[in-house]
Amino acid sequence: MTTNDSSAEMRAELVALLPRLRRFARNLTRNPHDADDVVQTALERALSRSSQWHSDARLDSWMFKIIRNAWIDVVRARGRHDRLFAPEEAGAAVGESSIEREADLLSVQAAMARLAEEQRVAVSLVLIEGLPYKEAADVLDIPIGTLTSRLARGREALQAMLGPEVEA
Amino acid sequence: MNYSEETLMAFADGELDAALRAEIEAAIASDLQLALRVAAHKNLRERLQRAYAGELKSEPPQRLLDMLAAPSATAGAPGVQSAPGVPSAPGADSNVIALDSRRSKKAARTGTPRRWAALAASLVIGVTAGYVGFEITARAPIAAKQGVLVADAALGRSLTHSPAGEGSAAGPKIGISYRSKSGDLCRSFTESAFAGIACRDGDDWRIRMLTQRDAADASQYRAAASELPPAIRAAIDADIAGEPLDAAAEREALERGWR
Repeated sequence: MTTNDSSAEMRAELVALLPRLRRFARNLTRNPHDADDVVQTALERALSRSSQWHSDARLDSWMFKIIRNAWIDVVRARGRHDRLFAPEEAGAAVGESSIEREADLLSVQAAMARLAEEQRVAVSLVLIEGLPYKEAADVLDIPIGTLTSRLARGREALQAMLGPEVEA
Repeated sequence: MNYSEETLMAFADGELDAALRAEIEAAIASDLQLALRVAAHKNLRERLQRAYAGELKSEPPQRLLDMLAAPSATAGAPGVQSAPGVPSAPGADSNVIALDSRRSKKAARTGTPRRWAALAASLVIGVTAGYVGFEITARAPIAAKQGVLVADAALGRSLTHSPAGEGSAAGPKIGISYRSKSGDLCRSFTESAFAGIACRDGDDWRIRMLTQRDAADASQYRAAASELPPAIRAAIDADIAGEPLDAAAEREALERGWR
């Protein structure tokens, strides 16, 4: 009974959270297909471990962490695959031209996509998903000071790419 | 005064302790540059939120919704289908479809055809998983409105206007009226082969739970609360805040149109 209750409660919460989970996963993976695959993996893991979640804990933080770990697994597996099969392709997307940056201010999404991953994830958790610093640091398994420094650098880089907002 | 960018960022994010927050608030009042730096942090946050708000509206793929709608492998008695958010009734043996938890209500309200399709699909999955056929027929006193199951016109009239225990012989009968933990006013009802719970939502009565009574049940059924199907009673127990409305409170709610 208790198990069924918590599982049913969790499913309901997950349905409500799903849009945010997908949004976070898209910011994390920068690819909508990867994002939904990772969310699916994370949902499977969460449902199989529903007993580990207590309803007084934040389900969003717990899920963000599971999503991030699922993504790390994917990246590691691909890294092995890429080393074996596509050694020359790595790095093609790395580095951005300063000419391009000067030519045109970027959309918010394009600017986010260019942030270093650790900054992008910190910005995504705190500024987009609205987690307190402490929760975001827990999701990433880093000290809060590391989180705030990534967040500050991410913000600075975004401001530089975006420029002041032009009122429409 | 010279504050680090990280401190100002934390101030803008509401992450500073009260003392430092008050100090910076005071400093901002007399330092335009400081005020602008804080404003830039707040503005970036708002800009990001605006830029990404639209993503929340994109429809989740069916495969993800299905994962969350499917009855859990550890679900209890066969024949009981419980949607997320409404606890399965212990020992319930009738066909029950629990609908529209408070949280999924938000999602359903943004009503798109696909959300409705997902809800319908989860109903069908639940139905086929049961061992007794449960037909959603035109006779069920429900209607779909913008992706939400609501009481149909006749049931809605009874829910709005009938005191508990009353109702025409052939039509819907009202059982218990109560306020739910989420603050909604809800009433249990029986109508021919069905029993359920509906909660007031604007001008509508959202169907929170619907169960089919078997024929024997239905024939001996009376509107007294003690004879509500066990699954409905259990759901009310789980959902109710405090006690059911007494006669005076119910009369007042009737007069106010359940607002």
